[in-house]
Amino acid sequence: MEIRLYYIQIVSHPRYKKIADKQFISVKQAEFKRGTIYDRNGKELAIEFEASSVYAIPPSISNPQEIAKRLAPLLDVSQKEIRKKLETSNSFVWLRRKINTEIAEKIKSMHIKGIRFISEGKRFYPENELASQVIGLAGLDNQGLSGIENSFDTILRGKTEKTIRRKDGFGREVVAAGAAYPLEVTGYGVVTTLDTVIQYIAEVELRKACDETKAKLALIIVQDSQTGEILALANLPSFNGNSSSPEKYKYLEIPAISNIFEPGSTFKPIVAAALLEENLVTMQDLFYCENGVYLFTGFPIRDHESDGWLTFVQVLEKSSNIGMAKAGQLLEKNKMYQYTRDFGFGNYTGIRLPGEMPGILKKPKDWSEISLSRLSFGQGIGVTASQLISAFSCLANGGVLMEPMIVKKIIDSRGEVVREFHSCPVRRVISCKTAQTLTDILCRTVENGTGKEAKIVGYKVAGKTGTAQKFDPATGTYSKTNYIALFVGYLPADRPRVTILVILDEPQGLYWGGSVAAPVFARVGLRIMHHLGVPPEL
Amino acid sequence: MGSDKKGDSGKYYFLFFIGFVLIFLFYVWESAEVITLSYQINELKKQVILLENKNCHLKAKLYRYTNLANIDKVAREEKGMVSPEHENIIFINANSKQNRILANKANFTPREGTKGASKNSHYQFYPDSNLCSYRIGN
Repeated sequence: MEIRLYYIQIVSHPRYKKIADKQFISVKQAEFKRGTIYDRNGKELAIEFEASSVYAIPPSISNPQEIAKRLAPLLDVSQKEIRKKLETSNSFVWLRRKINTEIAEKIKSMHIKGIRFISEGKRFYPENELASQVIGLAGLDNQGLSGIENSFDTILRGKTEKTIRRKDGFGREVVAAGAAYPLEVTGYGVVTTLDTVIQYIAEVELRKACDETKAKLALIIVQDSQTGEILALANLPSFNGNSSSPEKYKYLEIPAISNIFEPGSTFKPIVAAALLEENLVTMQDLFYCENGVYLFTGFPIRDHESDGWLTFVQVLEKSSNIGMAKAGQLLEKNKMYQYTRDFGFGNYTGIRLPGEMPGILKKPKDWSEISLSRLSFGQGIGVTASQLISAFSCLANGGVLMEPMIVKKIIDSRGEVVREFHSCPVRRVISCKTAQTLTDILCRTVENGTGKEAKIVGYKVAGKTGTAQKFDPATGTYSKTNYIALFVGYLPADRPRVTILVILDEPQGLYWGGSVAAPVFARVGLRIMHHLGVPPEL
Repeated sequence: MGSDKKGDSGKYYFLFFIGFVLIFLFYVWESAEVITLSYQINELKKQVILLENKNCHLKAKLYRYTNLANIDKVAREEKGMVSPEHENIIFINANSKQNRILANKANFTPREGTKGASKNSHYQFYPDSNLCSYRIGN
């Protein structure tokens, strides 16, 4: 007996300890609760709560057909599909994940043998479609798929750690003295720069504009002119993050940072800024606009109006392509390229969202003889909406290019700030004087020129219209039927608070930026001024 | 003398034994208490999670009614409210003491015939900017 005891206690000790530990000790990953996403005023935009997921243990299921018939209407899954799952030889199969509590309770009350439940975190977006592409989507396993959910995934998940847990004979957890076991780890909260009300205004007006113009795609960005903070970023079509329809996965991309388009006439102020900064033109310099058609190195450049001599200011007011092409010739290729780069084109803006494209800007050595003139009125360059609005904010704030900001701070579950992001000036592109001159010209564009529809009663608006012909890859030429209508501007022009960009892609019927995008700008701008409490100055 | 010494050492052994038993019992009692408390803690934690979940579900329900789209819809369709026209908005500096008194005394006129319109139907306050705007009359 002593030998047997010695054998069990000493010799076989490691083996028995291993068996016992397997029964009493478990290594568990602390469950993580995804952090909340807030707007700039603390309004919750994405929260997490527990939902029930239903699974089956097929070997325990006695009558798959009958059970499938009972569960199908509740789980919103076809009877055939449930039955197929119940008849597999697997010992575990998901029937439906993250269903709502009422349905889970109904199924629980049926007391079906072999049907079990597990609690899982489910993302809920209180404002439904609002800012859906920017906020993004979290997947079934709580992983960020798009938007802020994706770019701040590790922060929202928080730090999860494995803990060793001891169980008693009944499987109940026993806490050893002094041990602290985190039962749940809450990820950090992300406070965005979005203003829910401004976002709502932008989306309502965008929807209205889409209904009126039947545009294929539309977007509005509202940016704080001084800090570069994005106050609203509305895209259409969008999706409802709470919907279970797979349709939503089609629209995860954020067109404002991933779609590249030719800016058309909205690029003219950028060229004008370079010309003024280099003292190559004055506001009163005259340009002959060839009565509407100008053959430049064999390629025609057309204006929508037939004009003769125009001052530089009038060239911008009337948005003359010919006038700008001639003015642009005064710049050297390298200077033009340098200014375009300095305004942030052809490069990532640094916005903390996934899928950003740098746009297309060829190096001067790859330019043809017509590139400089075409670039002067916004052709031959591919930009993103976030680049374009940042460039206009640069004009608005006195010449400093700011990094577009989408996240203000990271906070922990008690609301303490863990990390704060500050508005970041990228570089000074033009002098304050040039920026002021440009603002004056852009105000005149709205007062007397192509942007009249963007006028807002009581507020001085600086802005520029744009109508870009879409490039047709099939024919290799510019389309004569598909256009992008744009308006970008800022207000109040004397002390700009917000820069607003409106883009309508392929509007039907009227397609001029000044006719379809400018009125949307005016409506959004006025409501934002009311919301921000900016008193009228005129 | 010898028996006295024997008696003393016996007494010491007895006291030592009693002390050992007491320490052992205390250890057993402490361990049992820790385990019992740990069961209670686990139960309470489960309850906390349950209540937190319940709270979250109620929050989600609440959000269905308080999201901006719903408020806008109810305001327009059920309460007959309209967005104020620019001409009807007066901006005043809410920081000024005089204006605060005026704002409190102001007699707001709701749009006539508006179902459910309240006295402050057309009142807007801008906490960020310290400015108020009022829609006055029709």
